[in-house]
Amino acid sequence: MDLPPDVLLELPRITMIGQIHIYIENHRGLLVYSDKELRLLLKNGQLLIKGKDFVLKTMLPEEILLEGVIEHVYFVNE
Amino acid sequence: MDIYETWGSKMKNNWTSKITGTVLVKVTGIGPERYLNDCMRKGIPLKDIKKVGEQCILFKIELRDLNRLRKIPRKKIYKVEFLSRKGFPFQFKRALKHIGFVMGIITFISLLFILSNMIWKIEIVGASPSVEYKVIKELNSMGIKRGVSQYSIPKLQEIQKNLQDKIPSITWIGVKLYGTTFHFQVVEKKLPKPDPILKPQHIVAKEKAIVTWMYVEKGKPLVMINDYVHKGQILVSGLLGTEENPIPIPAVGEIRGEVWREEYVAVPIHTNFQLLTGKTKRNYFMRIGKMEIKYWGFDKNTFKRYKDEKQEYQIKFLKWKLPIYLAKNSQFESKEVIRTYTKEEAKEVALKIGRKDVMKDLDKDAKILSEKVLHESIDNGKVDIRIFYKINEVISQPQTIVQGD
Repeated sequence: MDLPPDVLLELPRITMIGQIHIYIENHRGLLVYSDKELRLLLKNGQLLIKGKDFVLKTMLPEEILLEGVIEHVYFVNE
Repeated sequence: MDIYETWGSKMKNNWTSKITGTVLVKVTGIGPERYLNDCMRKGIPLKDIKKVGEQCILFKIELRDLNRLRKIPRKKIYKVEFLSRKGFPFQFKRALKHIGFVMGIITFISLLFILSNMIWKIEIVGASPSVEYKVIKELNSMGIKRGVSQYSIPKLQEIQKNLQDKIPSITWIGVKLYGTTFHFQVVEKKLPKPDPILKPQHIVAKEKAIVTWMYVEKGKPLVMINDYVHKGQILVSGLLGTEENPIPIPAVGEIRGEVWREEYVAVPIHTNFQLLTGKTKRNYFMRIGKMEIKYWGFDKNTFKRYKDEKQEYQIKFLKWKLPIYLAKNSQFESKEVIRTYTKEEAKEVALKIGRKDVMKDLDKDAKILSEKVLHESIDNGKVDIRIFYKINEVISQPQTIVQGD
């Protein structure tokens, strides 16, 4: 049985379309959100996305679609 | 791949939410992200989340999730407002305020629907008036007439069969329904005309002649070709059998003979004519009672000789005729022409006129065999001519046999 690692290890799955869309699955909640920054809680650490004109197109439990100009994606492991 | 599919499904939600309705929610307070997390934990999908300033968040939710959103305990630090409502349910509510307008639209559509499902016209093509009357009568008995709903009428094939069965004088009838018009194409049976029933008759001569051609279908011929016959002489007898015991039958046939005519023609040598030169002047005016108002054509009439022509048109308003006329006065310039014939020309013309005159009271298939000038003179500026014609024409004429003689 070859399960994908995101299911096995409960890691976030991140899909990006150029700079305009970023789609994150398996997150654990929203920490900070503004039009320049999005900080998500993961199982281990946080995910920090920086850019411009952010709009959260959809927000479902454990899924988020962010639209805007994405400039940086950081994993913060503390 | 599944990501894009779920993504796609979200795109779909976008337009379905227009039908189900969306609500714009404004949350103000310290750390409004926490409110979003609360929603997320409850499983309420949020859309188009925007941060406006430090402590304010705007987002949209579906109308059906509104009650679940209300259940989230409002901590005192948040202020939750519902701003605008979009989508069909809200538009519907707004539309209810203009109930008259909406009712108008509904009535119009339903009227259009009802009217377009009725029969408005019945066209019958190819039928004689009597057959057409029969078809209409038959259709009425089937319940097909103007203003009847199309649901209440039988099937087209049934109508066709019914009509063909019930009206014997039609061979075939095409039934078509174009929108609200019934179209019937009728092919009538063509029965040959029965021969007219003839009474027993003789065939007699119309006038004195020499028989040139005979065709006898029925009866006993009494004359032969080149015989001279008088007016009223029996040519073909309708009495067969013996003299003591005659059997009267209708004699049928055609006999042609040579007959004679005389024509007198006078042709003047000088003739005056009024010829139109082609120049015209037209005046247009309006006439109310006796008052005439000219509105076009102000030239004065300078023609020495002319013909006058007046045309009037009465103005109508709907079905009433008004006492106002539009009139056109035309003057056609003319000139006098004198035509002069020489003696030969006059004779030629006279012969032509004579031929025309003699044919006037003859049948169409009559033929002039020969013509002969009997007399010719010039008198008072006229050429007088007397012409003799030999003509071949039908001389037979039926005469009923009086029974009991």
